[in-house]
Amino acid sequence: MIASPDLKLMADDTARAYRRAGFEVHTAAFRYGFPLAQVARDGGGVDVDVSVQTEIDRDALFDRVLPHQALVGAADAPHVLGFPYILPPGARLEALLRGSGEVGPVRLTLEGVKLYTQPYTRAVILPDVPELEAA
Amino acid sequence: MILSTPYLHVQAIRRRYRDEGRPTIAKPAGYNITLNLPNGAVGTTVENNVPIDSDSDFIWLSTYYYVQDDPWDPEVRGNGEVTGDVGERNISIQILSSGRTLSNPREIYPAPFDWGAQAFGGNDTGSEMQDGPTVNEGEFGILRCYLPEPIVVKGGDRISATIRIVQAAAPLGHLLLLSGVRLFTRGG
Repeated sequence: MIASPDLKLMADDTARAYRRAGFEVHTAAFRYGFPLAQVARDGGGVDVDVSVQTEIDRDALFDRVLPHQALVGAADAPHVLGFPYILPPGARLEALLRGSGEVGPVRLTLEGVKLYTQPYTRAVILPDVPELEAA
Repeated sequence: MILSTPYLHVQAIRRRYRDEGRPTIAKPAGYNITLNLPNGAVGTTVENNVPIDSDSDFIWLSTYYYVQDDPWDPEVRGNGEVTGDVGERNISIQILSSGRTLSNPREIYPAPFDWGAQAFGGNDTGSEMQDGPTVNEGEFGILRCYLPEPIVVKGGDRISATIRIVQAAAPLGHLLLLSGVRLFTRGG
């Protein structure tokens, strides 16, 4: 028996369940790696538990260091994303800042729109494709 | 009044994909092309290209063009400055699968891609942006130009950029950031 077909079957069925619930779904095989763990023993030679952690749900918009003007533009010409990037409640963001020899504080601000929903939800729902207006 | 914005263009493209039986998920993204010159001598030409992720098409909306004295390397702390006149140069960007080429106005071929139309000039550190010179003149740190119409680049394609020095200039580091939206499709 080949085990790998189950991966596709389960993925297809899961995606189908989300679509029945009204979600648009895109699936892609992916891996999350844990850091290397070193097996440990206590002073008496007894194995002890070693905890390693990984993170999921991390996404990157720009995964390489770029000139800051290319990412943020300027005060009178801010860079606006071509499509909204929606962050659920409690999302955390990390920015990597790398200096070019200048000394001084850097203030980075995200500008956007806050959505208040009733009922409360953490679901991320992308904008629908609008229909054309009748002539 | 007809409102035309990059976002509306993206939605119109998504509508076309949907009508073709390929609903999409969209995500803002960008692709970088580094053009580091070995020297600023007249005639010096450098080409580089970037692959488009095969799992999504790319809607190319705008281009940032960044210049600095030192060669650009994100892993090396550069000076981030342009300390002299940049000098005239020609830049072309080509989509390899179709051969479609976009060029700055000084190039031979007429192009719908006008670097100067919506250029933002900068001072020599590039930290402030103000209406100012075109790509061929004066000092600036960065330009941003929106394409008159977005260009859809198919997943797996490659985008190539070439820079050629027309007038001797000192800056060696040139970076193009093609900014836009990735379209992930299912089916079709």
